This record gives sequence, structure tokens and C-alpha cells, in this order.
Amino acid sequence: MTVNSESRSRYLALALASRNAINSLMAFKEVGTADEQLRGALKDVVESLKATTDQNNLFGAPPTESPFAHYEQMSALGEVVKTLKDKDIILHLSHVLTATHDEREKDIAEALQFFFALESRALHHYGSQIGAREA
Amino acid sequence: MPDPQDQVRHDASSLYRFVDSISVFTGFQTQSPAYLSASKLFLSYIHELGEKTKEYLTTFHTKTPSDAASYNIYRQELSVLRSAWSEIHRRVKPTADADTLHLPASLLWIFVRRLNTIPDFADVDFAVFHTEQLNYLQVVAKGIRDTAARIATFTGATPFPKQIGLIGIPYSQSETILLNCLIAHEIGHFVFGEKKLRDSFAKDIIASLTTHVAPVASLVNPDQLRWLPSILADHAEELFCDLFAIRFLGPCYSFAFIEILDLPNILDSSRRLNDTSSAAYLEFSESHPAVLFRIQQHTLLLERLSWWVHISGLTSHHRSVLEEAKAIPRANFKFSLFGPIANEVLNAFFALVPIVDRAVEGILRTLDTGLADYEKNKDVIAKYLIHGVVPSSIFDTDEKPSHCSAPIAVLNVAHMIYLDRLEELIARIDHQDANRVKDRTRWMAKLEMWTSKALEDYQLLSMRNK
Repeated sequence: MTVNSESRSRYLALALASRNAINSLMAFKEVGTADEQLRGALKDVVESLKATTDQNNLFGAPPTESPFAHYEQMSALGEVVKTLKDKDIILHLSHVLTATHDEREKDIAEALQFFFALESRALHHYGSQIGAREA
Repeated sequence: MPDPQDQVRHDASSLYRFVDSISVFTGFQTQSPAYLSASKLFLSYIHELGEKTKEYLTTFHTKTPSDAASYNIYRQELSVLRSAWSEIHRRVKPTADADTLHLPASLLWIFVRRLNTIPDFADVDFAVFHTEQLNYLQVVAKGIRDTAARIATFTGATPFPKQIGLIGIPYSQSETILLNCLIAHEIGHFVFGEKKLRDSFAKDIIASLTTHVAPVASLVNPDQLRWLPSILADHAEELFCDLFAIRFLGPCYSFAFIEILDLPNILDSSRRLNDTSSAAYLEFSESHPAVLFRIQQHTLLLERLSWWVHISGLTSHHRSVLEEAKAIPRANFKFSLFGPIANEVLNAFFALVPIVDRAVEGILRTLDTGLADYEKNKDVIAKYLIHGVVPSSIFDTDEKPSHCSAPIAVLNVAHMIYLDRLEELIARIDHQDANRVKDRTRWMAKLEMWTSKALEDYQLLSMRNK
């Protein structure tokens, strides 16, 4: 894939969306209520992850406006999932909002690590494109 | 042992300085009266965002977590903010450079007012920035809006003004009118985003891929298949923007498109497609449909909108480009990136074209195409321009009172004179020769000036009549 402003913009959008999710998760951890931003982010990420990891789904997630759905963003998601090895991150992300109090701590911790890794990956790709020849 | 809070405080201070440099710059620029109101609003907003970010950074270090597990998660927010502000930084000076002395301000005013007549876009306005590329940019601008909106959520700033879009135009084209008709395509991107059409098209894209590509999926790498939905969505968006622009402005958009890409180069001396010169324009890329496919769709829409009857008689080779493109069989288009499944991928895209058509018509159904006014006044407008008179008001002896030439009519007449009747204009002027490039260039520029003046007068008269 060629390097261009749009790729850079998508990686930055992914980093920013991950940071929004992290901040919302921290607030959720403290006060116990989830904002719309967190609900939306979890829904979009789970949908993209399921599409990415479902061997029967040939084409991945539908190409929506979500900052987790464009090709570069889903590639970054895939890279992060590979580093998580045995962890069932989809399960943790899906349960964050519905878990009991005891389980919630663990789910939030896993979700935070996940979005932190995703944000790192996105920042790396964004930074590596600065100075590259533009298409 | 260094205190993590000290480290964070240092890094937050460093970022504070960077943001301050941008905020000070934007604060200074907003003092100047020489900006479009939307550009001023954008620069003011960035200034306010900068101030809020600085406020946020002032106390950022005080909340540094003491546990090692949370420290890096917390600290990385500074990296995200720095990247976001780096992106904004890239566009602030180009916006500041795009003052009203260096913009086609009247043309932009007309486009915005036309967009404001469409439901859901009544309050929209556009800030403009200069680009060094000979290209018009909105997609990148959307990224800036989204970036600024996200920074606002971190820092507690007011949300980005929803009614403001951003458009990039080449810095060298501030005084041209005809090429700046390409701005209509960028407006199309803004409309596409605001209407969330990417979400609307998503299911159809997957369905089309399932029908056309799934049967041959085993021929390629699974990664390539997962790339396809994004690619088809991008292609659908580009096609939408082209068709939107034609519906919005008429054939002058197509003429500008043909000119900026120098498409007459693909014709041979008998005005047929040259196989070698045109080959690259038959290729779909990862981001755009093939250029000749786009032109083909332009021609088909111009026919459906009944503009074609006014183009078919042109002697200009621009007309030939449109005609030759229309005649290209779909089987001639290529998508080499997808090797053995290229034809199936193209078929999946072709199946989406009617959906894109319907989306354009759905959004613009209440917008007058401008054709009726063009047909009524084209001869008079042309007579004015050929005689070097600014067509600000038409005196119709059959109909009184006199009325303003509608901008769509003026733009399209001007472009057709530019393509086909410059000799007629130049023949009226002493010591000028239409065969000399320099003379021709001079009168092309004059034609654009008169057209620009007509649009300015339309703006003034419209504002007076409000």
C-alpha cells in the first residue's frame, strides 16, 4: 500500500479513538457508568476484531466510518491481537460493560492494555509515515 | 530515583510550548479582517483549542499514577496529543495564507449558498487552506476536523463547530475560476461524510463482494480480500463526489477535471483514444476508480441531466475525451493490483454504481440543475462575454425586469467559450492573434476575470436583495 496523507490520517484517528476509549474506561472504572463514547468504541472494536479473526468471514468488517474499520486500522488491530497470544480479548471487551463487579476489574484491565497497545501501534505507524515520500 | 511525575511534568511543559506556538500564531491571525468568516471561525477555534490544551497540560502531571502498570498508559496521552497537534500544525499556516486576497472568494460564496439550499446543509460554510499540491483536498481536511474534535474531548474544549467544513485549494489558483470548479468535488466529500454514506453503503459493498468475488477468493491471499471493502468504499466515495459535482455545477466540472489531468493527451491526432497514452487511465488504483471510468460516468450523467445536447456540438477536444470515454467497454478497465481476481473485483464495484447514482439524486433532488436558466440565457451571456462585457445582469427584451445571470449558467457559458470560441473573442481585438499562445493566454485570463466579476456582482446583488 502506498504511503499518503490519508493513511497517516487514519492511523492518527485510530490513536485518538483508542485514547478516547482509554479515558472513558478509566472514568468507568472510577464511577461505574459508561459513556456513549465507550459503548461505541467497544462495539466497533469487537465487530472489527470478530471480522478479522473469523476464518469464515472472507472480507472482514463492513467498511464504515468507524475509526476501527478501515484497512490500515484493522491491520493494526490484527497486529495487536497477534501479540496477545492466548488472551481472549474479544471476550474481555464484550464483557466490560456487563460483567459483575469482581469480573469487571479484570475486564477493564485487559481492555486498557489492549487499547494502550493499539494506540502505541497506531502512533508508531503514524510517526513512521512522517517524512516518507507522499503518493 | 527520578520521580515519574517530574518526567511527565517536563514532557507536558515541552508539549505546552509547542501548542503555545500554534495558539499564538492563530490568535494573531484572527485579528485580520481579510479572511472568509468560516476561516476566521476555524482559526479562532484552533486558538481556543490551543488555550484549553495548555490549561489541560498545566495540571496533567499532577494526576500521574503511582503504579507502574498505569504509568505508561497515562503518559502516552502526551504522545497522542503531540501527534494530533502536529497534524493541526500542518494546516494552520496554509489556512492563514488563504486570506480573501488569495482565494476565489465569490466562487466559494456561490458554492456555499448553493449548498445551503439543500436540506441538512442550510448552515454549512467552509474554511479554506492552501496546498502546495496541484490538487484539491477535503478528505485530509476531514481528518483535521476529526482530530480537533477528539482533542476537544480530552481537554474539555467546546466541540468543533459542526457546520464548518475545510477545503484545500492549490495556492496558485486563487484567481482562476474555471479550474476552481473542481471545488465542487471536495464539497461532495463533505456531504458524503456528513450524510454518513460510507455506513449506508457498507452492507451493499459486502453483499456485492460476496456475490462477485467470494467464488474466486481462493485465488488470492486472504489479506488482499480484507483490503477490498475499504477499497470499494473509497471508490464509491470518489464516484459519488464526481457525480455530485456534475449535478451541482453542470459540465464545467467535467471540463475542469479534463484540463487539470491534461486528458486531451490521451487522444491521437484524429481525436480517438491512443492505446499507449490512455492505458494508464484505464487502471483502477487502490484509492480511485480509473480516470476514464470516471469520465465515462460523467458523460452518462450529463446525458441523463440533458446537458449533453449543449456539449455534443462543441468542436473542442474536451468533448472528444468525453465521447471516447463513454464508448469504452467495461471489459477494458483494469485493476492489476488484484491480479487473478481483478475482473471480479471490478464487477463488484460496477454493481455499486447505481447505488451511488441514487444516493446523489436522493440528496440533490430538490436542487435546480441550472439547465433551464442556462438554456434561456446562454446566448445572451455568451454575447456579453465575446464582447468583453461582464454579464452581471441580463436585459431580456421579452421579459422585464432585468435579472441577474444565474452563476451556473455563467460558469458553463464561460467554460464553453474558453474551449470553443476564444478565436471569436480575440478576432474582435486589434493587434491580437488567436494563433499566438501569449495572446491566447491573455484573453483566457480576461475571460476568467469577467466571469469572476459577474459572480462578484451576483454576490453583491444577492446580499443587497436579502
